[in-house]
Amino acid sequence: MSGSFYFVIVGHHDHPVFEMEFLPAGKPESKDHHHHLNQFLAHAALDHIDENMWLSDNMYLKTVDKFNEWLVSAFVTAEHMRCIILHETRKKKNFFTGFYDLYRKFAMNPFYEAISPIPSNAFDRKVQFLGKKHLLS
Amino acid sequence: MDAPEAPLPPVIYTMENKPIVTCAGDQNLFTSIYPTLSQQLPREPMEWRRSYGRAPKMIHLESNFVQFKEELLPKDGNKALLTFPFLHIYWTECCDTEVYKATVKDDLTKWQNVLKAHSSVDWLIVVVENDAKKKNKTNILPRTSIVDKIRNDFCNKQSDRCVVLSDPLKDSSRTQESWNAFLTKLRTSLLMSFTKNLGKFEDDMRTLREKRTEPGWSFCDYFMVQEELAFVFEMLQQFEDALVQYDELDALFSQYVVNFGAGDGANWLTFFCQPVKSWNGLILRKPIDMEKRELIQRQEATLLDLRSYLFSRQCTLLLFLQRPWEVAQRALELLHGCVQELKLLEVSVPPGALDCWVFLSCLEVLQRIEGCCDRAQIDSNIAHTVGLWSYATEKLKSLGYLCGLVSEKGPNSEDLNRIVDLLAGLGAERPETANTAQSPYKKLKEALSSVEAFEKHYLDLSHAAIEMHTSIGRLRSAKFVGKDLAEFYMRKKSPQKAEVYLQGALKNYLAEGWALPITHTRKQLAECQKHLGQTENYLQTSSLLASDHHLTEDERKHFCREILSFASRQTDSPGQKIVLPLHCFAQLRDLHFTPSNAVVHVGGVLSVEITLCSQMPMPVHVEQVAINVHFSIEKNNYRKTAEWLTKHKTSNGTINFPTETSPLPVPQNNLPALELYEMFERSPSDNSLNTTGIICKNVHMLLRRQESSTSLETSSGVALEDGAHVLKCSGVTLEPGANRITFRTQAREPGTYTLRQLCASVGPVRFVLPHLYPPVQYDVYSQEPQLRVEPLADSLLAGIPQKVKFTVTTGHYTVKNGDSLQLSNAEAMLILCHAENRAVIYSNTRAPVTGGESSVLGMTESHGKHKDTQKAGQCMATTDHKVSIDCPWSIYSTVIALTFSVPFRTTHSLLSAGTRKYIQVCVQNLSELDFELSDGHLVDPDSNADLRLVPLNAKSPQHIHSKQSVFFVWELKWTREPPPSLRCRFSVGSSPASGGRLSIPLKPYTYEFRVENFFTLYNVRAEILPPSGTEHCRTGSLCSLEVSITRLSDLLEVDKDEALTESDEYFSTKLMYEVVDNSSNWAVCGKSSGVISMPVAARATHRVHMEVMPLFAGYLPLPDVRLFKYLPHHSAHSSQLDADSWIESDGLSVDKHVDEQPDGGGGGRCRGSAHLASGGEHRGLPMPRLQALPPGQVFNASVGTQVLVIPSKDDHVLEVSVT
Repeated sequence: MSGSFYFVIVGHHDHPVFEMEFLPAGKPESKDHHHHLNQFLAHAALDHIDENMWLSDNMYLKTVDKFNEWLVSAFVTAEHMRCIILHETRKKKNFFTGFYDLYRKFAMNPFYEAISPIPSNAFDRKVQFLGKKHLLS
Repeated sequence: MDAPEAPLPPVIYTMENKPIVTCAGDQNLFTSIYPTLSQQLPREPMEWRRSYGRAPKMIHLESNFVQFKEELLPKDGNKALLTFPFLHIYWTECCDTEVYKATVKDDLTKWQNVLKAHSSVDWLIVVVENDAKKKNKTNILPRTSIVDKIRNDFCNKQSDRCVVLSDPLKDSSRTQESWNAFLTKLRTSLLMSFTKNLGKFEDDMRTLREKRTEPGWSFCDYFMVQEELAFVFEMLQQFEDALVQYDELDALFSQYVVNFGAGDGANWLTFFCQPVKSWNGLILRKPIDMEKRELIQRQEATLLDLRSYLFSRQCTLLLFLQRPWEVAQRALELLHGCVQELKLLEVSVPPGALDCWVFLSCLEVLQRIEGCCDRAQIDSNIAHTVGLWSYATEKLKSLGYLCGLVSEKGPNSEDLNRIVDLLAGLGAERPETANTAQSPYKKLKEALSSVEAFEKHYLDLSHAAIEMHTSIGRLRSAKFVGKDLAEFYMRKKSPQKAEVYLQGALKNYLAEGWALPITHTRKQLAECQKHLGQTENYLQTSSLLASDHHLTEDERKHFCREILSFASRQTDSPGQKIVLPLHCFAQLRDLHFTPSNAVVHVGGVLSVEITLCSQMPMPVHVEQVAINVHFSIEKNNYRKTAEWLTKHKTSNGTINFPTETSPLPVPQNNLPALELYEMFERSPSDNSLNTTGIICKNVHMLLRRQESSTSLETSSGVALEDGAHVLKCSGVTLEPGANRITFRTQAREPGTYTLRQLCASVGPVRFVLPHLYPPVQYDVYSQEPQLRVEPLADSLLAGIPQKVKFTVTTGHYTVKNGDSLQLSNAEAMLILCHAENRAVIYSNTRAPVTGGESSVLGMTESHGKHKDTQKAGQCMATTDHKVSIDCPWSIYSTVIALTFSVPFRTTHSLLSAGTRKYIQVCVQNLSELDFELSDGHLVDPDSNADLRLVPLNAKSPQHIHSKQSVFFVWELKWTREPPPSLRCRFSVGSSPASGGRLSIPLKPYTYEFRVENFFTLYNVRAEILPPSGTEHCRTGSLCSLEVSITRLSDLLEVDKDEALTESDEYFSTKLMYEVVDNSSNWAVCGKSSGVISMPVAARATHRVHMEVMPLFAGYLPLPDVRLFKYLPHHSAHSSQLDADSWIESDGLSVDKHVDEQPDGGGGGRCRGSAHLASGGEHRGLPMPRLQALPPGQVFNASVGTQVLVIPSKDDHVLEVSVT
């Protein structure tokens, strides 16, 4: 599982709006045993994010929670969409910055109903690209 | 502090350390001053200006004063800062020049040389002046001279290096002043020394750090150097700065590890990669863990040693800084960090070792914090510590799983070996905790010692963690721990304890729509429910899991089989039903009615086709799929459905059901929106704004406790409806994915049928969709066949053939070949059937029915129209004729009334010319049609031979136009005395003028009437004669009116009434005459009426003379002379009339009521009844009655006669009347 990342955007009703896993190139997807763990951790981390976001002026909340080798970093957008990355090392600020840029543009799409699940393939691809650029490189 | 004589301990690494100041010179003097000095020095803070832009600090200085020894001075290369003497002070009391020259100067020089040799420049010479001594020695030099000498000899431009302290032991202001000056100087010197020496040290340290890329650089060496600095800061009580040193070391090391992970390894780091052999956790109870420090110093420390030592130092400093919560926070980071670093460095760690280390460390940190905070503080800072609690829990759990302490059977030998190994790695308990009952070491050892102990400790920790999470509102984290706890309980075979945690967690995940946790928790819950024997819940969970796409195919099939095997197993115990919600088994996608408008007539067939999307991973045989239908009788249901259809009907009659995208997104608890209001509070005096704010008005709604909402996944309480109306489909195998199921039903009772529940039965298991939404209905209408008969024109006319339309609305009845309508008509109405008379069936879009006789359209018809022709028979004006029709669909006859209007109105009148009589019949055409009249006859049905009716008519046929009249006249002749009344029947053939040839003869139009008293009894003749002597009448002059009434016949039958009196063998009757001029041409002068006794004998004549005066000139018609029968009052004829018919001769007014309207009934009976209506003022008196003579009995011979009246000559006034 090492070297992979799990990214999730959590909407206002605490439900996942967008999810993506980044796996290092070349590494085959390991046993899908961990998929649910990702969600478990991201979900539990919401408690911490909800506390931390009021303590900071920044959108980027750094590491808000840890679980075993996992670090949970969060970023809260202006409209309080909580973005969470599960990772093992290093800070993920650049990814978040890039992502926020992308998300803002997406959220302004009049056909996108705010905080609803994001079904866009284009968005998917772009996030994938960001992940490759900032997380996996 | 210690007396200078006391032997100096080698190095004391505690905060008891103080910067060293050496004292040379007069030791006795110093000893006497020392108490005051050590007391005064820290009293006032001093500002310490820092290098490198660091903020200046106020610092309280303390010092450890030691006797000067050359050994104390650091040799070159010795970087030990703690033992570094920062200041050297030479004390002297000398006030005698001789003494100075003899001893003190030499001593000072020697001291200075030593200092110079060690290039120590931080020194101070203190000259203590004592007044007492001065007094004793008279040859004393002014004191300045000694000081000056010293300054001159040693201070060399640094005169301030020599300080004078006057009378230090006295209590005078001078002494105080002198002390202050000295202390300031001392402090300044010390700080300067600090600044200089520390600065130099830092520079060296930095230089060393810069060399870290060089081979052979050792982190441990550098660590010791920087720690030295930290020690000094700590010594100076600059904990912040000390902490910075450790943090820098921490960061440096971390960076190296990260770089190592990135492939940039440093040689020295490989040392830290040695396998972990000891995992005894953090030690935080000692300020400095010398053991570990020595390991680092010897470069033998492992990564865990280094980290433990580093953290223990950070912890110590943080606690000095009163920041215990940061300790907790940093501890959590450290513990995670270490685990990561070991992984990055690929250090081999025995399984469980790290868990032990983390567990011990967590508890150690927690106990350390608890040791320095009170309960209240701890309780209010749970947020900081709970992470450690749950981490410890987590680690203990994994230890338990690792060592077989969670399994049912307890640890096996392999597990036991592992436990022994793990305990060995802990080493012996450290002396500082050996006496503590609850030390982390003891806890861990105990927990690993037995299954029971483990359980106790694990439960304690878990519950503590859950409680803490919950208390600070971290419900999700609490659920997460709870889920682990549930797993533990499941392992311990206590599913009943596990259930509550699993349900709690599941509820939370469902509410927030996290799919994978839902699946995972459900899987656990399924197992739990299975163990608990909660069949219904287990089946429900199984069905949810079987339809869960997050599971593998095999897992889904497993759960599907669980359901099926349960279903097949239970078949032998009937009656028990398990009701489960359908949506997890299959989803209803759409529904389609045939006919598509979902409206059928009674007896019709309705089919409902549904698409059921099976969520199961494999084909499932369903014994029965049933749709429960609610039946309601509603008026106008047909129309309602049509309305509904136009609103809801999708194209082609398909109803789509919204797909439940289970389990995402889950409906959220619908919290009301914030209701925020601005609030301004102004001061009452000047209306200035005092406070402003925002108020939330629905706080009570928003802050309501959410927990107690109903569980999202209890056994749903789906009620199985048992209705009489059910659509069923048996033996269906549902393949995974979409399945089409068709239900057929024959509509029975009319009404609205609402599809309510969909239920699929698999053995005793019922999958129920409790409500179909959007609502689906079909309607059954019962339209009984109806027959309507209506004329083609506006109305039916009697007497002529007309067409009538028969409309048969078949309703649900199917017209079969050979069906016929049997008409039973009244005699007066003929039904004309033409040869081509066949029902024509007009197809009218509806459902197929077999056709009628003439043409079969292949479609059954509900509203065909059958046309028949019919002749309406003769009848009177607007009457109804009933037709009874036997229809094939009913055993009863349908009776229909047809209304006919008579087109003609016929009147008759009797005309007289003397005694000759004529009968006139007037036929008036009231209809819109033109008619031909032919063969007008008037006959006496009694065939009275004495009477003859002589026609005086034009030749027939006669054309009678719409709204016009035709007259027929007959002369009535008789040979003998005519009867008092005569019955007549008028008949005339009529046929529509435009209506072609008719195949049948039409019955003539007849009119019967009766003529009475047609024989003339009296002849009345009036004559106006001009006044005698004049040729013409003149206006205004009286003329005479001669009226002669002549009896024309002898006594007849008609005369026999009350007025007839018999005397002297002849009969007489009483008549009243009256002269009336309605046109006011004449003024009747005198009596205008009178009663006469008229003999009943032929040619009896009565003459009346009266005077009249013409009022106008011209040809004036004569005034009317009316004749009445004068009946005695006692007549029983009509007592009512008696009362009203008082007659006065004068002003007699007579209303003659002769019924002139044609009598509707009975053939023209002419009732001669008339009465006079008087003014009615005189009542109660018996009055004679007047009876008008029938018109046939009186002949007015002078009717139409005119008299020429000429205007009088003396007319002066011309009257013009304009009307």
